[in-house]
Amino acid sequence: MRYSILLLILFAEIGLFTVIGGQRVDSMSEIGRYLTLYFSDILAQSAPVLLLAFGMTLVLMTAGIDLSVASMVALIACVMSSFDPGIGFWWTAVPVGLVLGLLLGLTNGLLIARLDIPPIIATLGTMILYRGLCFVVMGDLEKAPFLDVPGYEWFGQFLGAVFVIAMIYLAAGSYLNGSRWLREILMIGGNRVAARYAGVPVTRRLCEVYAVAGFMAFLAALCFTARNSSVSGSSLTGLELHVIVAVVLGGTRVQGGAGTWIGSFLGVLILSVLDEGLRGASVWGEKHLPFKISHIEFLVLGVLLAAGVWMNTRFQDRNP
Amino acid sequence: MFHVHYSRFLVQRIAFLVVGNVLLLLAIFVLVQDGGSFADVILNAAPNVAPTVLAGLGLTGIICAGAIDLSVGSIIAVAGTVFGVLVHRQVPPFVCYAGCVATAWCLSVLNGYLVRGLGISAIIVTLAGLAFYRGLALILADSAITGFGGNISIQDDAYHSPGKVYAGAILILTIAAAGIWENSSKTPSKWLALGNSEEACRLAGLSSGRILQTAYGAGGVFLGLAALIYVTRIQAIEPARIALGFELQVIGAVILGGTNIFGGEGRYIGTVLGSLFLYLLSEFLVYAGVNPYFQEVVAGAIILFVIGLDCAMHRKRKMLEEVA
Amino acid sequence: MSGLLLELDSIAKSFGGIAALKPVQLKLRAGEVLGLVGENGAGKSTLIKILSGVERPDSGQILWNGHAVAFESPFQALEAGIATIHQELAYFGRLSVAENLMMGDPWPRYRWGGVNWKDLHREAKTRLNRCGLNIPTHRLFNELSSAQKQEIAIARALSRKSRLLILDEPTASLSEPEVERLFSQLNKLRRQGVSILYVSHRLDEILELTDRVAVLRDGELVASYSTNSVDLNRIVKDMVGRPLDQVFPRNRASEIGSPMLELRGVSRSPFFYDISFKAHAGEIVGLAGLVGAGRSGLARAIYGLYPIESGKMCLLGREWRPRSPCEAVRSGLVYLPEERKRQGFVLDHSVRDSISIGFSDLITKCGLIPRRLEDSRVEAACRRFSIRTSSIRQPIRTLSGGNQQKCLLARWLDRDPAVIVLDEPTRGVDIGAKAEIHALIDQLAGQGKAVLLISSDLPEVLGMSDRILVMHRGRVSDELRGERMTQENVIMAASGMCAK
Repeated sequence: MRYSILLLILFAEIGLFTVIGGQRVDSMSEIGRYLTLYFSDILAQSAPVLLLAFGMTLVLMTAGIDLSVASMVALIACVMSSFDPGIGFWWTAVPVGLVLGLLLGLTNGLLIARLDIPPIIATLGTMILYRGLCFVVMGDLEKAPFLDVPGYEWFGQFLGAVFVIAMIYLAAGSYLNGSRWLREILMIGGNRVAARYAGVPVTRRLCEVYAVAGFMAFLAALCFTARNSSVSGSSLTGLELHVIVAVVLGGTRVQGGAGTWIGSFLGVLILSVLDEGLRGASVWGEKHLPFKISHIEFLVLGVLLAAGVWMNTRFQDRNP
Repeated sequence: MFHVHYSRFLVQRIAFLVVGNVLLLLAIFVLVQDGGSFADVILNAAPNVAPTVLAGLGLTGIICAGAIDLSVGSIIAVAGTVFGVLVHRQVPPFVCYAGCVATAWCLSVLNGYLVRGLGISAIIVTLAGLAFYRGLALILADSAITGFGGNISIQDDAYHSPGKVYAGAILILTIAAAGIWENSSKTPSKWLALGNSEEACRLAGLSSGRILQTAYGAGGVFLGLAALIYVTRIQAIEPARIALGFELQVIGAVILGGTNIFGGEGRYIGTVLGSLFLYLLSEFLVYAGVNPYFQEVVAGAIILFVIGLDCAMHRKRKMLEEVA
Repeated sequence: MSGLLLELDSIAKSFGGIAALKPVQLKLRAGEVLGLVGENGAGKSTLIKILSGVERPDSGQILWNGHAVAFESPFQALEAGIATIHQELAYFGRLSVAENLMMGDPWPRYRWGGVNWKDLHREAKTRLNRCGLNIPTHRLFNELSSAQKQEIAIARALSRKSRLLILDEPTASLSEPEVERLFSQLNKLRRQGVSILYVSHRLDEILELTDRVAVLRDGELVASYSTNSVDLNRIVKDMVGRPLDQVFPRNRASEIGSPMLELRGVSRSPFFYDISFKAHAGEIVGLAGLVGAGRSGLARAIYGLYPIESGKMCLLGREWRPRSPCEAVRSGLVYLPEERKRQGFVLDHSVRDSISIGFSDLITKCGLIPRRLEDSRVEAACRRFSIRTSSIRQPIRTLSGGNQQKCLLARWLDRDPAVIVLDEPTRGVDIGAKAEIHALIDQLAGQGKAVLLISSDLPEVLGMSDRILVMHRGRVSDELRGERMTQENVIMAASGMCAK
């Protein structure tokens, strides 16, 4: 039910933006070709967000939230960019990025699980902290060593992006779906006290979840840098909100205890299409609107977040 | 006469902040070495510290009542944009100031209504507000100013007096007013009551929704003044970037001042001292010659550390209550 | 004694099909002190909730001063003049005494509109004085002792000119001199014409304080007499009421094995002090006592939810110092929590998930749960425990209380634990399921497990256990075996009147 609604929204959106953007489609085969091209582009474009959404879904399942994901991606990318490009990049920068991602995530986890800081406050803090570290590493520079690394650009292309996304969403997703680990996570999110009484190692699991979010940030950094080729201290500012809204839109409750990756996947696609559509509609916007159409996005994100959380809560209440 | 009471925890925290502030001042004095520029540090403090203090005063009430507002930065952006647009239209300064304050107040009240009406947590509502208001500011600037190029430049000195000339006066008057109000009104007690126990409030016949509303309303007044000083002390208002990340700074100052993040405890004086501490700390880092990029990191780490310490303390108590 | 103040006319209430209160008639005159006694689950708290406006009765009516009333909220009841001091006080811990007392009323102000704090404190002080209290009104509420908190709660309740004061177990956390002070305060109030409904497990207090005693048993008012004309034994007999006609299964062998769990001088303030006992294989040890006597606290410390402060525990002959429940479960010690909704389940999750969380770590392969095996195990458990569900994918919230409780048991038993701690395993469970759970407990002991049974249901704890430890204020006040295992002895020991 939810998935069909999400798909419906997705296609309605594409239709709307196709019309507004002035794209002409005449025959069925042309529509097919257009959609294929469109989706392959969208998929490669939104690979980082998709990866982050996977981790964020897990975090939301535990009734937490992670505002620091965008800063984590930026910091990992910044650190990786300070290594020399060349074949050596693969066994210096990439492992460093991986370890850094896990460490940053683990820091969040420890703050939340050990010190019991409310997740939103803790990750708001680390969001700013990690962003500050970006500037410490980079200063005001913008570095672009990535495309000089042999084979690196593969992550930014359609094939690479699809491969990574498939590995995460299909392989890891289905593995987790059948695992005890996910059951424990869902129980922690649904009722932390009961989980503790049922013998679930709550603190440890929470740390693991945030570490997974950190790992996803590392993968997202790979895809992002491979596609954009350059990074600066202020890269990806505000991306965390995209990720959260997408996951909420996909039906994961902020109260924890439930959630699906398919929903988050569709949620991300809806936002990416919106993003892309607003960019495509800028010409139309200049003619018809008194403001830049891309600025609507903030409004939409805010409204979608509040409305999504509200609907998820209501929907749950009506079906006891 | 002061009749409001301080718990032992608050007294300790305030004492710590007083000592810390004095030590930081001394350190800065030593580092500056030159009496003239030390006076400058003091004189320049007011415009820089005022927005944090004022917004912090507003947030103190909201957090005491058990809620939160993450959208303060974005609200300042909207208020600043309104101010900029009015200046751009060459409206007399006082109308511009009034517009700025009123906008911030209205949005804060709106937050209160939404938190009360939607029945979802204040964190989520105001996180949504954080995005929404930022967009609102951008769209407002776009539509009201033809050929808007990203920032609104305000060169005329007539429009800078609250931020550049009167900031200290406004700050001191507001703090005094807040102190008097805290000592002569029942409302702050009600906020604390709500933060302590919603159930006991119900038993006493108090409406928790209405109390929350007053907290956001009063918070809006302080936030309006904060926005006023924030936007009048700068030469150009950039709706996309102004007051970005301001919320953590304010929340950090409030928590540092001894207000309980889960509500039910806190006093205005703590917030004032907490904001001052953070400001002096950053100044200290400047004069100590720390890499400017590193300053943000240090400040962020200190805020996280203090919040973490508080939460860990509450955790022990909560754990016992949970299993008892 | 003047006329009738309160009359309950056939008040009845049931929760989820189980009658908590069968039609009850109760009368209370002005200025009278009525003691209400009964075992746990006899319906006392339901009655209090109805009177104080927390719950609405299913049928019957409340006559207050001769008028029928229906309270929609606790505040309305308070306004009408019925003040209730619940066991858990609702107050503002980090506000001053004066603010706590006056929060519901308009505050005195100066002409310019500011709060006149001097008058506020003076007013608060007069209110305290009226109740014979002398507590500095500037103190923060949290800094007071629990006795002072209670006294202030009473003063606050009476400041609304209440005519009926309901006290629910007011002495649970008070020391002896504090109890004395409370009683002198209550006596003062009685002389001022305030009626008091005093609910307590402590029969000595009831005898000392009240004019009349009413006994509730299984939701019915079974007896009511004037305190002068009655003695302790009569009240105990009426509380207990039914002879032990309920049949408890006993198919297990009577010999017991080696000690499985051993405690030596274990303490953790403020929950329990100096507890020592052994639980052997094949033995059921009952743990009786009043609510708040420290039984659950002890169980949770054994389960590793928090550390003990002194003493030593041994599990299966080795020193036992658990750091988390996770460790306890792995070492073969499991615990069935008392509040299954809050501590047991995620109510939206399915029956399968709720049961298999207890044992699925034993059957995982590379972290994956084999679906078929899991389903068949869960289905087998459902059959064995006769858990009635249409499908194991049903959410747990759709099950009845008894079936939920059996799910909790089923969660652990596939692990084959050595020691099982059961905390109120049959609370809120219908009779049929109760008998099934009892049979299961017996079966477990028969398989050589050590069972620690915490229960407030006297017949249950007497009928199931091999011996009974009775706790009173955090200490074991008596250990009962064989002949001495009678309801009277348990009640005596639990209320601190240890039989010699």
